[in-house]
Amino acid sequence: MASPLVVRELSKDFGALRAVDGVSLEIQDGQVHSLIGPNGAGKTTVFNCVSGFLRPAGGQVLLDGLDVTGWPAHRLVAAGLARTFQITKVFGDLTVFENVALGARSRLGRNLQMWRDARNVADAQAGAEEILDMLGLAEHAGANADHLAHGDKRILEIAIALALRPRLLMLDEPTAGMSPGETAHIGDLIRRIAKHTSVLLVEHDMEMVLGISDEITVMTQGRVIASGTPDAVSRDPHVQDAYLGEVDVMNL
Amino acid sequence: MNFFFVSVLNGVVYGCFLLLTSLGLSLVFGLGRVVNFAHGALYALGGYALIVGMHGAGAGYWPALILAPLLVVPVAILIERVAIFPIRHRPEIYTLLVTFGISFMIVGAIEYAFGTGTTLLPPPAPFVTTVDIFGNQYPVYRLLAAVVSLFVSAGVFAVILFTPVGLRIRAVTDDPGMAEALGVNTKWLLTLVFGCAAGLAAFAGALGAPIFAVHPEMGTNILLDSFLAVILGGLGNLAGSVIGAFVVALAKSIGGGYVTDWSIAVLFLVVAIALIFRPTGVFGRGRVA
Amino acid sequence: MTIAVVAGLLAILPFVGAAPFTITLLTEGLIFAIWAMSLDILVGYTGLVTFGHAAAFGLGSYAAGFFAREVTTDFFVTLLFAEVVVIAVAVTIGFVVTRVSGIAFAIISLCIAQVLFQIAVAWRDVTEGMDGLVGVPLPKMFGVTINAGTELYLLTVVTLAAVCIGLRRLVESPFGRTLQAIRTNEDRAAAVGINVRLNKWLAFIISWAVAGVGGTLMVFLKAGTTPMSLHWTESGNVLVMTIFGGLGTLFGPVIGAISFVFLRDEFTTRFEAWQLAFGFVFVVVVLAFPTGLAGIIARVWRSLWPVRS
Repeated sequence: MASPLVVRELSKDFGALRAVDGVSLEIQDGQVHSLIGPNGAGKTTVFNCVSGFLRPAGGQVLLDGLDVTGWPAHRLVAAGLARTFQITKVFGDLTVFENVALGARSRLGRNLQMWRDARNVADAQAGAEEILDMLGLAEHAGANADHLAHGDKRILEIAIALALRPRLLMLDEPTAGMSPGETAHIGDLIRRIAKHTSVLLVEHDMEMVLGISDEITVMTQGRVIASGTPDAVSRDPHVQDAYLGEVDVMNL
Repeated sequence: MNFFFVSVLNGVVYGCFLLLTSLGLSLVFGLGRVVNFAHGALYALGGYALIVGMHGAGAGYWPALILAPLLVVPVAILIERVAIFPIRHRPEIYTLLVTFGISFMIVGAIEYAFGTGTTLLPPPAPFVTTVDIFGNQYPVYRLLAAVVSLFVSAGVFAVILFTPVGLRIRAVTDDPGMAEALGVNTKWLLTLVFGCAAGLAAFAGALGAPIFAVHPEMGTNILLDSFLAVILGGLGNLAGSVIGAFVVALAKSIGGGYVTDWSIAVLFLVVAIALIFRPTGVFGRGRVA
Repeated sequence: MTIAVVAGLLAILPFVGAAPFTITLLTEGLIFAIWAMSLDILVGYTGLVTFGHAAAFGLGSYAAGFFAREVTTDFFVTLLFAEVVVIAVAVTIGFVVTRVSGIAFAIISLCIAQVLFQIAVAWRDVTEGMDGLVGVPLPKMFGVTINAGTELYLLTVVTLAAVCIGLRRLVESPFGRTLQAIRTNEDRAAAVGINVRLNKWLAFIISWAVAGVGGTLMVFLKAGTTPMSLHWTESGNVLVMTIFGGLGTLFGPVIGAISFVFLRDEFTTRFEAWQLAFGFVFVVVVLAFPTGLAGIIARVWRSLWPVRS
């Protein structure tokens, strides 16, 4: 069985700046794979290139063995890739339930139907309910997504993505702005998800990354400097350099 | 040949004139991302301010011409403070809707106060005559208006390029977040520029009164032409707007002379296509979307 | 159900003593209502503000008027012809303009509508230039002439009801929710697998097609049309009606359109400042009541009959 995601020699320029320079990584089935690195390392750019929000300048993206390089986001979703956003982008004026149901209908290819009531697409309704239950959002189902607390919005992001029943789930800093307690909750959640879906995680919280990842890829300045198990990566001298370097810059 | 020559001359004159309205529109967009649909109405207000100055206060043409923008600027500042400032954090499209409503109000107020009729104003005394240019009799006042427009526009450029206020305007236009972080007060800057842009439009309305006459809907076409100029030049890009203004003016006057209304249809089509495939403008780099 | 009751009430108005003048005015208001609802699909549901929606309505008028004068006055055939023209143009234009959103969409749609306006002025062989199409005959249905006044009014009421039912179903359908998702956030919509451009394109075509129905009725009501029906200020008017009534509600724009027609009539006969008054109300609505009249009505309704839980 092909890996859920293989990225080969990916590159991307912004004007004269080479934001991503020959990045390769491979995600194994049923694993949590984290992509880390200091600010400006190009993680989010990789993320956007893989998920179809940016067109890569070079390289290859294989999803389940299928070459999907440069595909638009909505086709990638159909091919089994779902993502969340670093800055929360839930559908604010729709209900929590409808947010998830949109994902569920999308997976069933129902979003273009014009002549039937959205509430009558039974399997999508059931799928959405199941996911809300699983993530503990069921009590908020009827509320407008805008009215959720920040932490719940972050979880809703994940719920929408899960409703797409992806082969690969890409999470862009899911714990941004969360309390330590909430962060731990998200960590557990990701481990549970990984039982049936591979996860690519971009995250700043090192403790969590080291705790839940099966494999870690470290980037600085658009390149991969290390890749391996959490143990191996945290002992890697290059990685220590990179992070100490960042600390120095921050203290200036 | 003569006909062609006069068309070109008309185009150049109109292009100079269009600078006054286009530069303001472009500045306000660049600075505050405000698409000002009331710009044409403020232009019309300038024409009526001239009438108030001349017929109401009994001033001569020239004092009234200076007075007109001074009357309109406070109105514009009030508009910015009351209707645009409060919605600066909403999606940009809201300012477009609000200013459209305001243009309704201004035109309505003009009709209420002055009626819907057209007022013809003769050019001031020494400029009523025509001048012979290569065998064509051409109204002197038009040439004068073009020259005045050019000088005023050059003044606008000088302010933007060489003064501290101009530096701040350029900084905010480039990167509002960064400029604010560096301590530029963006709130009042937009108010100021909005007021000045309206003043320029009002000045244009007054200056053009003897050429185009004064009526409540006089701003409608000017607004569209200025929009076209600004879009062609790249929204928010001043130098581009200059080229845009002359392209629009020449296309309208030359095309209008030969192939009638089709030329304007083509012009709109070009602008629409340009915006889609080159959102940064045809002649310059600006920002849309 | 509600739609049927309201349509029924509207339908008996001419028989309970409403003045012919009022009926004519109301016919105009109901036709505008169709137009405003079609705009609501674009602006309220999909989030695409357009300053060019007069193009859809005016094009429908021109196509229907031309066909009725030259070929046949049969209402259904004329409507069919107008729809074919409007949809063909919408498919073409929509394909291009739905590449963008926001301000760019607003301005591009304005420019394209002005292209149609200029064509209507310039293509005299077909459009008769600035004079416009005049003397469009009354429509026939099953060979019977639909007379101006009550009969045309009833036709309008029935059409409006049909459009209401159709659009209500549409916005409650998965497709309707898809459009709302696009309005809220295009990136997020793409990330749940929605083909944003395709859906915007479809919304554009549907919106134009519905507006074309309104345009067809209007050319029969006015017995003609002029290029001004395509002008961008008309696009502004329908935007005003829709927002005034309440975006994203469908029934709001209906109220908005009817009040627009009656307020305009009231103001223009009383005093000249109707634009001032209407502009003021519009600005206040945009600034303070983004949900429009429909939102205000809903709020009052809820305060009168609070939902018990």
